[in-house]
Amino acid sequence: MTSDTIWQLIRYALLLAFGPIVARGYMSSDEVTTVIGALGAIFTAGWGVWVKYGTKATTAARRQDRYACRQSRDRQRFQHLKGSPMRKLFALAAMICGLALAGCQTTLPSLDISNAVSLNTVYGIENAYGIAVNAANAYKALPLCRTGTRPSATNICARRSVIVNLQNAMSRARLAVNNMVAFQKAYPTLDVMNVVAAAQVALNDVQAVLASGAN
Amino acid sequence: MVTAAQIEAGVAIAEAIVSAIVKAAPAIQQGVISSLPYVQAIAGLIQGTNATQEQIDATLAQINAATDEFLKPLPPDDGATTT
Repeated sequence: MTSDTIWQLIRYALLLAFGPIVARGYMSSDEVTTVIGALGAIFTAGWGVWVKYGTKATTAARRQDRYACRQSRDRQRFQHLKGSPMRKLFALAAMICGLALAGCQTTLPSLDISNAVSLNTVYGIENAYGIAVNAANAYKALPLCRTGTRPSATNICARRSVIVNLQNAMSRARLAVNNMVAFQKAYPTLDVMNVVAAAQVALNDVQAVLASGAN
Repeated sequence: MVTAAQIEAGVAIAEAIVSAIVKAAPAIQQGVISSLPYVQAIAGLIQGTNATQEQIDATLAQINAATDEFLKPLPPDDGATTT
């Protein structure tokens, strides 16, 4: 295992570790990349010093013997690593890389982006629900249609049966939207698509009942 | 050839439509005005503005209040509005 390979594994681990920092806005993704790059330079230099530690400049005649000796020492150090905490770190980094590759991702998941997407999705659904509620209130504010009449251009009115159906649909939509917001708040990094889908279904019901009011 | 009676009938229909719209106008206008912030918020999202948790909480409280208003029961039916 070369220093490049090891550094690549550590780099993946660092990217994952820096995720929450980016998510909370303490650093941008570019800054994280710069910091990790700097750590890489330090790591590579440190690795070089560690490998060369204890060696001396030699004459050409003894260089080959020294080279064989150094190789032997490097092997011993690597064997020693297998049982050390460093081994666990390498195993963890390798596992993270494996998981990322298993998910067919070329980059590790970025928590700040997923969180922003969740917030925007929830906010968009919420505002659509707000428009539906206002439309329902506007409909309810119309005079009630007289028995036996239907709404028309000359008889703009609200049907009692439509309002009652709309109230039932709106109750379900309210529950679904509140659940969606509560879920997003409790689990900001989890996928919100299930609760969003439930809210969308409930809003579709409201829309269908509202549309029936014109018939 | 259009007769004077046909024209008068057409004007009467137009008057009825305008009258109905004028009566319903305050409710429709209120609905449009109240929806404006929500439409603007969606437009902002489309333009790339990111939502915050505070915005979500404030909007939800506002919408829940409007929903409470809508869920208030209708006046009882005396048979004149059974439809």
